[in-house]
Amino acid sequence: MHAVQRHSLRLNNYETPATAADAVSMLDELGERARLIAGGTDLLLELQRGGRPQVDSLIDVSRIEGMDYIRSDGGALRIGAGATHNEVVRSALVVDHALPLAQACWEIGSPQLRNRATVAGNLVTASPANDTISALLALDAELKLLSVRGERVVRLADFYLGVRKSVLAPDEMVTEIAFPIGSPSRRGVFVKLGLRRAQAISVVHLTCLVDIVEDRVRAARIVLGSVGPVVMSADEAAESLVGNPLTDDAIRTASQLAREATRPIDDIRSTGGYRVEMTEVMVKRALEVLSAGRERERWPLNPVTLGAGTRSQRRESVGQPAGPELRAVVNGVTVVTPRAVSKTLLGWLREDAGPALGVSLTGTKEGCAEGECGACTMYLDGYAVMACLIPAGRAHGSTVVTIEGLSEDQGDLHSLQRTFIEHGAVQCGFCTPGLVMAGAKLLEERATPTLDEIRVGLSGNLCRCTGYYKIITAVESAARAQEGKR
Amino acid sequence: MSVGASVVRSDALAKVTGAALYPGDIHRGNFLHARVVFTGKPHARIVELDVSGALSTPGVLEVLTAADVPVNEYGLTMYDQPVLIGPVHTGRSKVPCDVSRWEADHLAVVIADSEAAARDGAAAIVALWEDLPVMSDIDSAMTGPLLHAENGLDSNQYLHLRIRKGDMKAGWEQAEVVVEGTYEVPYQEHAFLQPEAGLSYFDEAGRVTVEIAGQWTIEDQGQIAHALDLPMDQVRVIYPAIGGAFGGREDQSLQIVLALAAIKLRNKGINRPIRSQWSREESIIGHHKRHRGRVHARWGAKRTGELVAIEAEARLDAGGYNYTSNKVLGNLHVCLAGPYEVPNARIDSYGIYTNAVPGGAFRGFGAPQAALVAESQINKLAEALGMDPVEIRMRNALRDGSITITGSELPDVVSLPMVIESCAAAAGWNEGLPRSPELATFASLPPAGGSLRRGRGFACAYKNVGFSFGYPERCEATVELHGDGEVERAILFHGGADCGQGAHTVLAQMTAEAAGIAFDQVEAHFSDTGSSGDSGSASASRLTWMSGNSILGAVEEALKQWNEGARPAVGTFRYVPPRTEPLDPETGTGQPSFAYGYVAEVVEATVDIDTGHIQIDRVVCADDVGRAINPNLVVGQIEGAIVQAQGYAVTEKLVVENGHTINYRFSNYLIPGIGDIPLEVQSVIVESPDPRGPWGARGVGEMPFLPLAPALVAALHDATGVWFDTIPLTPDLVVAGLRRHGVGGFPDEESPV
Repeated sequence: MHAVQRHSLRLNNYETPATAADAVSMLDELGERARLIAGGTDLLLELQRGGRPQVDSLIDVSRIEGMDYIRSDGGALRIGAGATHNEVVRSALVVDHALPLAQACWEIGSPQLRNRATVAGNLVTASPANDTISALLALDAELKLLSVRGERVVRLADFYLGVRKSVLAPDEMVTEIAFPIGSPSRRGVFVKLGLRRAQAISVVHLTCLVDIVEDRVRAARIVLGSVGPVVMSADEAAESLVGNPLTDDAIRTASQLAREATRPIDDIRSTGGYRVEMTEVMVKRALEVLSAGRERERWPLNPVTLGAGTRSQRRESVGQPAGPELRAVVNGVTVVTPRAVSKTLLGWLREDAGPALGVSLTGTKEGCAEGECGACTMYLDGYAVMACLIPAGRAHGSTVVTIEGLSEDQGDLHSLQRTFIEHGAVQCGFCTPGLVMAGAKLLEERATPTLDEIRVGLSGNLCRCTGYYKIITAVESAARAQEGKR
Repeated sequence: MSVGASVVRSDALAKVTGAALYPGDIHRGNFLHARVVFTGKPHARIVELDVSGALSTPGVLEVLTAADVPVNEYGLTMYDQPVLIGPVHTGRSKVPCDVSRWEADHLAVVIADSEAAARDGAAAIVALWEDLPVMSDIDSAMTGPLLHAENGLDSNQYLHLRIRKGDMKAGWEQAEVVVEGTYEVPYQEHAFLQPEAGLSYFDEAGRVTVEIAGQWTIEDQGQIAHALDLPMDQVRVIYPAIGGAFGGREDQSLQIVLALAAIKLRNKGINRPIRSQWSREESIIGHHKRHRGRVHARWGAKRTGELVAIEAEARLDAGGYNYTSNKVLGNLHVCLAGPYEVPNARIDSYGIYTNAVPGGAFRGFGAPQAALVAESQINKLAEALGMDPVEIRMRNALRDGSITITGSELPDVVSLPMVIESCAAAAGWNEGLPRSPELATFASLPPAGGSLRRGRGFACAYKNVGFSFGYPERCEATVELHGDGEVERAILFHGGADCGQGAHTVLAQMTAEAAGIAFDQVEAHFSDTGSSGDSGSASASRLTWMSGNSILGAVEEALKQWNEGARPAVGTFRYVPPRTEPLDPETGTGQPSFAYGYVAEVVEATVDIDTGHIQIDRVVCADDVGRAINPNLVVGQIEGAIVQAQGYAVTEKLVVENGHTINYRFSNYLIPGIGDIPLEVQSVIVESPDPRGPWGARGVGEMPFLPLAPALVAALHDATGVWFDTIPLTPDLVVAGLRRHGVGGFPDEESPV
């Protein structure tokens, strides 16, 4: 048998604890068999591909109340483990005090992914390509880890042991990420080199921080990702800046030193040599931008998240004992099916929920099963998400809207469905339901989106037929039609 | 008037509401799951196959192996691939079935009452293999063991086409400027959004029926009938909605095994529908690709720009099986001289079996690879001569009365010079490079103006319409006319596949036009061998041209009946186009095709010379489509082809190592997303009617793809002074190329790249 045919998701148990204490006690009880799941965008793929074969239970911590906070206290910025990338992107606190973290979150995946994936999860996956790590290392973050044995705090700088290896014990859960807010003179920027505008794994990512007082660098951090087995701090490079003005010469020296700190490999995304040279280019450009004070220039004032929903459904069903049923409201109708612990939300919708309701719910498509193509875009509790990356159990007690239910409150067709037809934005049509769902959510969030906002809003959806131009036209046209109605 | 109107496509409503059913969406009650097991072996002989573990797995009803296949062979243009690999020979196939020549060869099919049981059963199959040397590329295949000794060949280099035209010695003597290059052309994965899926069952008439997404119903029917040793009329193939194809569904995926599964189960007294679906990984590993290859070319011209001599040697990697390699190679071969008049030429094109993924049909069918070579060569000549790229093309372009590289005349009208001029005019070629938004290489940083270079490039091409090289082309249509005094309704029965391009809408438009009724008075039934005839495939830019002619004939016949009083009046017509010829094996002369379309493109691009990132600022694409039956759909084809070609030229890099495709996911095989596309595409529809095309139509599906990569390469050269003979132009490749010529980066340091 071919290696890619060997594995599939095989689970027996899906738990939804109400508190972090419950979660770690379940983790303690189930031991190696269990894995915590929040956004699940990394974990589900890992399990589907045969990783962690001992795991047969998921403990869903995404519905624990009060875990998604982002607040400042005691001179620190504190981010709950439940906070998603989009919540960080939308946080004025983070944007004001930790721009590189907001930038790193903004450049990960797609809006649908950012609505589910948590920053804590990104850290725990422990891949050197994970973008938030360079930002948080530069910010001197520490992690609060909870287990039945108690709580401990670990500096992120001490957290990683190697590729996908960390000091997190099997019975531990990250509950909080915290870092000092620092002085207002500290400024930073995150830079990512990818091979595509969105949905791109970093070839190189890095964060530069400088604290400039009276034209001299008082402190500096340069942290490099995807150029070695762990995300690494280029201390020599950073130190070369300290005590001096941020001149072209100083920038050149620091970027050369950063380059020398890299230990990259060749892989499918690029040669190692390219990574070495790009590290120098990127550090140089980042420091030049900081020197010129232009690091906020490209930050969107009002980032699109495809999350115009509410969390009102969040706690319903949480903490209930694992019952025999999965109950959810799909397109306005309550559906009850047997629990489908080994299915994704996509599989459950298509194979279980549809038949249980006696309707066809096959408009939500599987194009890649890894959150890359967006053909399975639907709304979970108001947020646009990729159904292929969500365990079916997460839908219990939730509200789900699929393409079949999109036009319900509009009587006939959604205005975007109408303009997709009018402008010929449909060819083979397999990507169309997902694009319509993403586009309709965008229009809910922005009455008249700019071209850039359309590009962001639809960046999680691939189309192979149209070249996207007519899709953009359809969104613009629907926005105008909606405006006309108001 | 229906023809010429941008009628809204007939399937759009079902597609925007999610109601359209693709093969994986059809859930007939009580169905079974079939799981196709790939060998996973690029080259190995099977010694033993034990499926007893699978058969005893709870929920498993049946396991199909090679021993179950009556005639264990298939293939679109030659039967060189076993349906299933196994140690037991049925003795009724020429190709030995005990050798896996490709990692995605099929080993067994497990049929179970749940997907999980089918998986468990598949995992319980035990195969013993004797590993054979894996020939992962064309170089290793030249000295490795023979992959298809059954064909009496003494080399894995099994295809060789020649062109011997004029007098090379005299040609080179006249040449005052010579340019030369070795081009590496890459694989491309179709990446249609809908992975392979299908359903089989017995229909009411007792025919084994397969519902699947393909490009040619009757061909699928024939392949099933051949392998299963059934009469054609016992096999039925239906296409529901098709989620993209681009050539990637021309060959068999699940068709034969699904039909076999239905038959085997019925023989056991089980009459339940069977469905099967591939994952994205299985899809990318399991179907053919655009051919990769290597081409060396040497072109000579006089100071005036007149081409006097062309030499080329091309090698395409066919992979483990032929698929359509012989035909793709022929198309590449003819296009290696570009759309130009060339008095003296010597071209050798080879196809080579390897253990890599097979090469096959993909939009352009050999022409994109040839266009990269030919258009780069003529752009290099223009540079060497100090001549404008448009001027050198106008001097050499094929025109009415020209003799092609195969020694034949092109059918009227040869509009290439007009298309080149239209494109140059629309792009403002004689004016300065227009401004464009600056490339922000890094999303978080403002554009690094000092590192950005801009340029533009020109390329053109021609594309044959229809199967070529003597293939017995045909297309059938049946039209019923209903009404009393006047025709009130027409019903069309046609096999043509709508893979997304909008063919069904266009065919209905042509039916309405021919019958003199409105578009909404046409009812159409498509792609069901139970009711429609042989349309030929939805490929080769042929469907509009061929179907239109078949519909014209069918309506004419029906109107004749109508006038004789028949109600309804029924006309069936089989259109046969002008004959084409295979090329002479020694000289390459012949009349390969009966119709052509012509295309030219200008690409404006920005490159960041420090990072190698490319932004396409604008594409102007002029296409002579003869007659745009539905202009909006034509523009859809142009825009889609350009972005697909951008992927080919820039981001899509498929890697094969030791015979294994290693990046088989959308997360590491990168097709363009909405943020990556050219900032602007300007489609210029040229309508110079083909006298033999329906309403003057030519074709459009493939043309716009062809010039993009070479025009982008030329733009990159214009921007940086560096030629790139290898694509895709990934940032690391661009940086390495630029640094070799001292462009960009940190000149005072030694580059490790």
